[in-house]
Amino acid sequence: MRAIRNLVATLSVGALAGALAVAAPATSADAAKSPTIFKVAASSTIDTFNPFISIYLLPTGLNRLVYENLVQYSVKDGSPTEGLATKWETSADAKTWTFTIREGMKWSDGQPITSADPQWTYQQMMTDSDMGTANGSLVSNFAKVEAPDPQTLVITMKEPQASNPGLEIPVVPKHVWEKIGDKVKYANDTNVVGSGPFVLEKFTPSQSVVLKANPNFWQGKPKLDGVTYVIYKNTDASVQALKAGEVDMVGQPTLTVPQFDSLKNADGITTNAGKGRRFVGLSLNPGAKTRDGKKVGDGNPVLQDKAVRQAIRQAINIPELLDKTFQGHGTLATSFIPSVYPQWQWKDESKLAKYDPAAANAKLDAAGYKKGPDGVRLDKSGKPINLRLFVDNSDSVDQSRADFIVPWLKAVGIGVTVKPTDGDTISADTTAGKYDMYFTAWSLGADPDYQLGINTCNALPTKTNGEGSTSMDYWCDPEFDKLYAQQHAELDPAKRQEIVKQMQAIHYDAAPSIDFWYPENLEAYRSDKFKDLTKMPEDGGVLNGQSGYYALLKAQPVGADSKNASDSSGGGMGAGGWVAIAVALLAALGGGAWLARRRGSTADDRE
Amino acid sequence: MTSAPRSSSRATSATSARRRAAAGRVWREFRSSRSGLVGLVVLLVIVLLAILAPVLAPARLLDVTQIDNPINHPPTWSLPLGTDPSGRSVLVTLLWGARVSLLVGVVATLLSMVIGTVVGMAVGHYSGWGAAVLMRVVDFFLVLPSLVLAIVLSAVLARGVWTIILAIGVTSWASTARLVRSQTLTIESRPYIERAWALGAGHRTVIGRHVLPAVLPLVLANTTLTVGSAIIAESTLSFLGLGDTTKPSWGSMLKVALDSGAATGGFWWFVLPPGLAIVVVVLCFTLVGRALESVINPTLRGR
Repeated sequence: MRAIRNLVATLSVGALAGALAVAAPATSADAAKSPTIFKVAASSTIDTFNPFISIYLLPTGLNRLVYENLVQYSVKDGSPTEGLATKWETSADAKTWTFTIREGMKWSDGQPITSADPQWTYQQMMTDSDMGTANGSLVSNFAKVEAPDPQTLVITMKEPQASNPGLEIPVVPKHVWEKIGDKVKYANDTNVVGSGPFVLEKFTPSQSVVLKANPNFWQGKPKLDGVTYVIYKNTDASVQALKAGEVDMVGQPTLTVPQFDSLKNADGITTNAGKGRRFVGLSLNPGAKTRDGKKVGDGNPVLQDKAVRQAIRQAINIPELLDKTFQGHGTLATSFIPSVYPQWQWKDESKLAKYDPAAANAKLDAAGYKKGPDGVRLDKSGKPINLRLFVDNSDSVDQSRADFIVPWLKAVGIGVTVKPTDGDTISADTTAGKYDMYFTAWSLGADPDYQLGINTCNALPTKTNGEGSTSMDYWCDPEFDKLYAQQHAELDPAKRQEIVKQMQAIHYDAAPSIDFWYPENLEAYRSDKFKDLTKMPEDGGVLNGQSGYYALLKAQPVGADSKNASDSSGGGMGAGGWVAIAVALLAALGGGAWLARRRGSTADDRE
Repeated sequence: MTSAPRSSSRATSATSARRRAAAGRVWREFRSSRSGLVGLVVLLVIVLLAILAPVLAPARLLDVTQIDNPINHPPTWSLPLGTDPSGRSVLVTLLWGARVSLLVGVVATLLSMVIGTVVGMAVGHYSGWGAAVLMRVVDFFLVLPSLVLAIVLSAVLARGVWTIILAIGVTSWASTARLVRSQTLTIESRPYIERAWALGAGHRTVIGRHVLPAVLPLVLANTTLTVGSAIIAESTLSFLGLGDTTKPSWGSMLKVALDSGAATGGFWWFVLPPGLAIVVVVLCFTLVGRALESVINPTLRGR
């Protein structure tokens, strides 16, 4: 983790320099008529395109287009489906997984794809911990990987594993990568050889990422000739660009509600409030400690009391918070597994707490926290309770959420001091256990194993400075861990889902984090120019930030006749346009603020 | 025995009468500048509004859990400037924002003036390698892009109003120091300082009794001019997210407007007021400062 942070810090400095450059590079929209290029506006950070290292949402998302995985997430519900492998078998003890690779597939340079490629890829990650920077935890259970023939791959596990090991990890071409000297530092950003629907052609930092269609993709060449990601430092600028027809899709990261609403009635533009695979919540420090029980950081001891954490949940009016800070664009959360994965999500209405300050007060009274003269409760040592709440200064939603939470907690006698800071500091301080409360968010893959794993005692650090911690909230419970091991080896999906739900119930009761809601991703695209974009999940899902490559797989241009119509509608700039330009200019001058925002979303962006 | 204190008090009263007369003269000359007067009046009104903010708009109007306004609503009679993305009245936020913006502007300027005056007088008065080194420090701060330095400072220190004040204060004193130094050199070359030296005055007397009162008018005029740029610096830092988000300031209002997409949404009532407020206050300080400057330095008049 330390290595990643250092890398992130270095990149941030680079981003600061980049931020001072052009805010919104101009693109010649209809310059070349023949190749059909789909332009996506993106404001996320790019660390590297090296699939072994990259952890940010945008580059990992682009690598999903470039590299087909052994096993792909299905567009319907994210369950494992055909990737490079057409089928797979698990031994009865769940320790041996055998994959059959499709015959006749080729890399984008024409070389054949064989089982030697995934074998080599996994082997790199298993033997060199630096090559496992991004996805090392996914191969930690691999004992050995063998390729007995070009069409067969056998993975032998150390412990039984029910979740499919072929998911998520990008498989790179062995014949290209084995010739590279320093594989960890390799940027992988020009003329990339890939196996997915699009391959990366060129990356210009702070400006654009150019991808072209891969004619050798096993599902056939996509209908688009290419996809270009245009980098904007500011979502406001990207919205204007969409209105003007300079880009074809926005929403990475999510638009704000006013931006989204302004696009709703725009001609030729289709908006989508897609159900995302993220949850947002409030993380509480339940007493950070190392694996052997030594104290980490300086969390307020009152939060070690489960009653206090539960009372905080009851003191927060989550539905109103969703309504007022995100205008209801989300589904109320029941656990840390989002509702796009209903098969895994625990949802026991009878056990869910409701907003009830009176009950919260009663709970705190019963737990022995008496109110002091000024209405603030005293902790066990007689000091007034005052919890720190970290707020990412560059995130307006964070700030407005804090505006609500402070008075609500005050109403039950809990003092809160808001500590505005930046995403990097929050990330460092929370790893070091030096926090009481902060807003948290995670994107989840279709298999909950990773997310459950970071709630076990094994995710706690071994050192008292928190180094090496991968723990979600510094919470762990032996009973939860026992169930974790059980579900890890349970091959019957129904039984496994049942165990996973039990685990979430334990987590809910312990309340190390208060899960607020699963936000929708607010996005829009030019439907007068392109059609057949595919959401993931198909029913009400997202176009941006998918865990697959489906959005643009089948996308194609609308006929030439409607193209003219779009040009006429694109010209007029809204009343707020000039203000936006002025504000964007100011932002470009200032520079630094935006990179903090991007960094702030690091934890969220992590797969 | 009794005559000594009496004569001393008579001397004091004579001095104070002379100072009162001087102040009266400054005021008369200042009054003759119409623009300076307009600036002063508008400024006094704004300061009064800022001071009275808790009375005019109780703090509970900022508590988002206790208000029930529609969000991002255009101006109406009950909400003259509409509402922001949290449903707070923009007018109320603007009033409370004035407190932070003015406080930061004034206190940061005072800090910068104190540092600048002390350092400027020191390098002007003393000579030798110590003063030379100090002068290079001044030059260092003079060439350093102060906004970048302020951003670094407020990013490193804990976020808050006082950090912003410190960041602006310690980055903007160098030009004042230069100004004060040159004025100190001019004053000290005058014969009456030489007379004081001859009568056995020490450094303290010369600096305290003669140099300081002589540079103060210049510092005062400079202060008024600097407040404006300090307010802009505060807005810039808050806009960049380096301020205290729990207290509204004009800069942070603009930041919230940008972050929430108010410009794209066409919510002009949330974008324009803080921007205009900054313009008006900075303009007023500049008008007052210019008028004061021309009073102190008559050669500037009529230009």
